Amino acid sequence: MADSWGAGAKCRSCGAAVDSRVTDGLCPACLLRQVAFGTGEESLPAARSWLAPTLEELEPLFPQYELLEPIGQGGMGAVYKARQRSLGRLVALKVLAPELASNPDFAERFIREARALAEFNHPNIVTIHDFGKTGSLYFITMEFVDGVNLRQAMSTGRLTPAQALAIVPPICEALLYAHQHGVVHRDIKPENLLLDKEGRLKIADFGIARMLRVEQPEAVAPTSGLSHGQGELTQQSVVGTPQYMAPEQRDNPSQVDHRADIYALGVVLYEMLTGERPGAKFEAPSRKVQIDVRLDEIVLRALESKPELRYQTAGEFKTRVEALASGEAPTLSVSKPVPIPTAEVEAPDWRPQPDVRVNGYIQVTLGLLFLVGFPFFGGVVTASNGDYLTLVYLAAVFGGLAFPGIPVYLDARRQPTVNRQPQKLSPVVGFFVFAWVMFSIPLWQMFFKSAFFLSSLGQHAFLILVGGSLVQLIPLGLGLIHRGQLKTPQPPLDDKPVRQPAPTALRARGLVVPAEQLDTFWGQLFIHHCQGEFFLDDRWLRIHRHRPLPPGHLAEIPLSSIRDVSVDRYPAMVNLMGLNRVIVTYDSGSGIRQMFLTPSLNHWASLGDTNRHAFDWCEYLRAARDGRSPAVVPQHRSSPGSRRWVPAALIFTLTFLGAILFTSLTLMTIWNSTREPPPPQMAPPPELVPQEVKKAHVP
Amino acid sequence: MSAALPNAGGFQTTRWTQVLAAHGGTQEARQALRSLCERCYAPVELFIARHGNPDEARDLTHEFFARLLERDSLGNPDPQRGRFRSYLLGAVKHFLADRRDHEQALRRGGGHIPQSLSDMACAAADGEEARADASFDRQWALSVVESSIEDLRQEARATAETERFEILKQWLMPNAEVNAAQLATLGLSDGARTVAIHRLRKRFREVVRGRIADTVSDPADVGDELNHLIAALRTE
Repeated sequence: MADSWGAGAKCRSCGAAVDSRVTDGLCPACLLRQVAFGTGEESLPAARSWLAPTLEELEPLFPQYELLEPIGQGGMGAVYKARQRSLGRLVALKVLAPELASNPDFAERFIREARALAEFNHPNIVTIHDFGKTGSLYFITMEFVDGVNLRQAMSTGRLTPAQALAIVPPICEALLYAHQHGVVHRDIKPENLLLDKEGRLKIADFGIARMLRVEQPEAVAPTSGLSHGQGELTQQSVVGTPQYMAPEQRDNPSQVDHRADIYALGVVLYEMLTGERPGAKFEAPSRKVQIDVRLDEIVLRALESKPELRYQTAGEFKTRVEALASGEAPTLSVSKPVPIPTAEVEAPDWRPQPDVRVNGYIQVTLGLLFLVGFPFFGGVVTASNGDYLTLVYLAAVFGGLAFPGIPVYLDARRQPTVNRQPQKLSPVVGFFVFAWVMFSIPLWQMFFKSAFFLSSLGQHAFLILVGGSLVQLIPLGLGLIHRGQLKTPQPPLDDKPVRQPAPTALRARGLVVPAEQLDTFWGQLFIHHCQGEFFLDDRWLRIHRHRPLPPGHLAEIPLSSIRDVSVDRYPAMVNLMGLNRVIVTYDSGSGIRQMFLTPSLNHWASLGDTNRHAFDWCEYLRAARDGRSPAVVPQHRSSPGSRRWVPAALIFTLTFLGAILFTSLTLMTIWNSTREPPPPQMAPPPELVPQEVKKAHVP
Repeated sequence: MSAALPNAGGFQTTRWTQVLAAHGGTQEARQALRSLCERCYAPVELFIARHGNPDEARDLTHEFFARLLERDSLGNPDPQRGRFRSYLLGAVKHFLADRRDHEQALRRGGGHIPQSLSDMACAAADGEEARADASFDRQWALSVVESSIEDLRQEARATAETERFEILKQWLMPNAEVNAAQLATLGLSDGARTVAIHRLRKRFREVVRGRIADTVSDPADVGDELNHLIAALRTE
């Protein structure tokens, strides 16, 4: 009677405990088994799946082992954790289901395979300690891996592409080793890839598939499924988990070679990356999740349906994966919303920055060209005036004008720099430069024909300004070249770290640029529209901007939603000299967003100081996000804190004075030339002028 | 009740497929998700109770489902998104982790620590996680069985055969032992009883398979999922 089974009662069929309070007191496992096996006949056979022996049943059979606990069980066998009494070591004891051994040549095959496996010695393959037959039970003891299988690891959280890639090379090494010894695994799947607590990978169940193979022509390659208690309970799955099987393994099991393992590993990699197994028709991984497209090629090649199109060895597979993983870790594009944060992917090697350096070379070349050409050009000018003193005068002026560039160069030498992918000159920028040059030629022609340029004063003013700015290009260009050559990947926090008990609230004025702003040419050009303020306290990063933020962005970013903080440089279009930005990647609730912050120091701050300030902010933001003490605290100085303001002020003053001088000289010359009538005979008598003026002014 | 069940063998598009195909975006998909969620209240509540304060579990479960159904989309695909069960387990974990993070963020200003492979292995090997997962799966299996029996009972009630069902249901088990008094109350000849039992078992299989089919993305996975649930029931 069903209801007579109280809590703690046992099912009469399978012996499992049955709780009368649920499922009407019927044994749920038996009910489901009825669903699984039921063929409609009235007398349902008792569960066809093999019942794993209990520890008590096994103990007399294995006196040499202290059986500790069952690890997993399936229809074809069971695995137990045990301690080998003689050596005291932990082992995994695998007991094969007796009905498997009913096949007449099983014993022979078992011994043959087990011996082959026992010779294996590889750090990424589970070692076989012993095997044999006790009573009617075949058993294998092997290394106990204290950890989880890859299936369990995947179920605890999504693997990042980097983690997924890290898993492949050790498996490939183990496969290569086994293949060289003539053993094909045939059943690579996440359940058979064990991950110990140190994160080391080991392949389990090598050769078991072959051991258990039913030698019948129609038999499809089986699975072991011994270790992890799943599958093999119904007829449907006795044929295995076809998702990991290479097509030729499914269609023609006798033709299987080592490339079937490569296919299966491809399936595992695909599953780690996308969370799904590839079906009959499947998409490239990068179309499902945001990953490096170069991974597609690697995965798809392993998944080729024809073995000859796949990697021919596991070593080849490994090499390809490692090249991608070590060369450039699959980075994520900067300004697009991404599902996974960049998590501080740092390019391991330094790379030059052509955008800055090419600029520097051009500047230095121009400056040198002028210096070389100056005596010739100056000679022409002075010869025309017969005034050689002018040459000396001009040389002195150029020297003076070149001077402010020198501290800028020195400042550049102190600048921290960041790694950056090489940036090509965008075709749009190139077009505008070209258009400007073409457009300016007639302007220059007009200028050279103008009365102002033909006057001595005009020539001197032109020489001073053009020459001076050209000469100044030399130190500026040297600075740029130097910046491009800096090899420090991360900010050299040169000062002693200021230890603070906890992050305190900070406020800064500066650029607040949503990543989308830089998607367009005009956005890059009008970056100064993004002026604003930001405040940081222990919970929030609050942003105030003079213009509203684009939709999707948060004005108040909780620190807990910040995924990543890093420092990078703005594109050359925004700032030619290389202005740094703090990239804040955060989860806005509707997706991952990026915001670029450039805190400004004060009006006199040099580019180098501003860039260092950005690094300080980056470090401080990271510390605030992680809830730890920051190594540095960005010091906002309202007044110049160092003597570097002297050159800055000098540049500013000279430029300002030069502009005033140039403008006034130009105006004066123009004024003079309009006042002076060109033909002398047309000139009115001097005494008439005031009268005419007077007349003109009297209405 | 029975109208909500898919026809035997005819479940080409399952509810879960509908939800997945629309990424949870359309009205039908939401409806499908809602009806899926209605059936899995118990495992979720038990899972939540296991992870936190049992007193709060009911409220948290309410909150979890409310949020799940409010969402515009299903979010990122789960590593095992083939199954609704896995998806839901992932979502519950995410929900609980979010709450924890939120509480921690309030306390000390956030902190996402990137997870390394060995951390993950440790966390997973810790056993607690695995045990909780196993318990969730076990509860899931129980709720599938229980709700399927309940469906049969409802069907019996519709035809006013409740009493007969209460006795016949024991034959859902293999080796059923039914006492003579109950047999007598059935008032069925041996042949008629055999036919009735046969029909009941068949219907039970259809209902269970239908329920499971609703939660997998590929009808071919039903057997696999069934295996998983049987295995889940065996681990205690």
